[in-house]
Amino acid sequence: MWEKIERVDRRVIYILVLILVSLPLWFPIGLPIPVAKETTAYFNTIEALPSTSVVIFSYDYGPSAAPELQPMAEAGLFHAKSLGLRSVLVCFWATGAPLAVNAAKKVYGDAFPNVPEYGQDVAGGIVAIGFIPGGAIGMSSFASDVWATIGVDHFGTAFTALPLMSRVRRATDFGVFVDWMAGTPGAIQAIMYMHGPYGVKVGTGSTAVGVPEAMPYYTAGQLFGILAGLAGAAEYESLVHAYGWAPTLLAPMDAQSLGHVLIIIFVVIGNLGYAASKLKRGG
Amino acid sequence: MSVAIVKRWIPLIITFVIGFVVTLDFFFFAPKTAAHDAVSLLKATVDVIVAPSALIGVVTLVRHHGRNITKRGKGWAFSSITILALAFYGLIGIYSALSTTEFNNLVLPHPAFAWYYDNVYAHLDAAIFSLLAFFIASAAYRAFKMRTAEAAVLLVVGSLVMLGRAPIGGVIWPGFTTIQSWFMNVTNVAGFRAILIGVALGAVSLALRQLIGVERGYLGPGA
Repeated sequence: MWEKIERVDRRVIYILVLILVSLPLWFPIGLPIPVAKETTAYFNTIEALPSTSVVIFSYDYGPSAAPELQPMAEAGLFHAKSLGLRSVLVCFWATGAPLAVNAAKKVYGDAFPNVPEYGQDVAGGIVAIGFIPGGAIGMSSFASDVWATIGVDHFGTAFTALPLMSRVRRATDFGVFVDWMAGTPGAIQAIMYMHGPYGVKVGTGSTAVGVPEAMPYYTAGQLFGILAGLAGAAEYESLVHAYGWAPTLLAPMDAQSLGHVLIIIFVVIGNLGYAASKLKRGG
Repeated sequence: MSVAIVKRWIPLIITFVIGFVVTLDFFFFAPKTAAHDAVSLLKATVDVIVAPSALIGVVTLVRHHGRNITKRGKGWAFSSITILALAFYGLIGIYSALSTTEFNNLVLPHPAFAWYYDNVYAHLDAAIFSLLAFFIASAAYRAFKMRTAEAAVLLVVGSLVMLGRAPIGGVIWPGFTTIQSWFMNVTNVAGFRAILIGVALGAVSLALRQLIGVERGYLGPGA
């Protein structure tokens, strides 16, 4: 019997995954979400910023990572706006620019960038710079001279017409740099080109697969916080909820929980089948 | 001018001069000084270098898939779709740039381009990535076997971290969260730190070799 189970058709596995991951999206369980210390550290650092600080949000991902990163990117922007911080949105991935605009529309309204805060050096002021080419070199250039690297925003408006940008000329002007990252360039490069040379505090929200690589930088104090994948986003949403943010990840986290359990069950059954086959062969 | 000068010495001199100046800037030039600003300008020229490289990418892609289509090679139908999609995306870009003077003729914020990105590209990209959930489940079932002691350790630790990262782990037993946190913050950090230090030393060594012209592989064959 175990050999049969070991050789089960992969389509059966696919259907089980589909059912178990889909069900909680329609019928959420509402599992409690404990908050990790890396998430709390991120939240507390943003909370402690002086109200006139400029937060640079870097949208370094594409649509493939958006389900994991877009919720935290939106909640992060909402958090900054709620605290009256100024936000500047950039991206070193070409695919990130529309996602940054979508996040801003979610937080500032569909009329974005035609909102009173756009380009203004006021509480909740915001500028969307958009894509900066060149990968890590583009990031290095941005850190050393923002205006020389790119003199216009995402919509073609010159920095000279955006009062907020008069305070954002080089990395030493950044309150913190937050990288929503799905790879390279991302927060690791920001540590190299902003934290190292200029002492800028760098935080990140990363896809879960990127967290193990980012963790040594957190424990060394080079990252002030990490929002770790979908779980980190859900934890952060629960903290930002205090400012009126409506959590969007309760059902997806239930789906992820069941997905993880299903994979572990598959691993156990697969190994039992493997052990039974081995015993039968006299191994 | 001889081939060696064009293919080897000029690129090597450019690499050395730019690499040396940028390295000097990183370690010694203070912000707001003329030298630092000059190097900032130099780094900003990366935009100029990146733009033609995109064109080279398009030419290479069209040549590769065009050849496959004319030879009716493996998957030639998919090659056709690739070229059609490339042409379509390019046309949308050209249309976006020419159809309005708004946004200073920039393509990215144009509604046509944004519509294509939001309604076609985003869904295709997300759909392909979401297939991973199915492949991982199937792979876990078929390949994640305790064939050796090392595989057994990997399997047990992987399962514990998976349970600890998901909310259901803490509901089953709060200890899963603590164990996961320990693995991520202690064993993972120790292992990754060693890897990162090794990679960094290798990168420094490679950079130095390129800077002084010992490593010339990036110049192509015959350099």
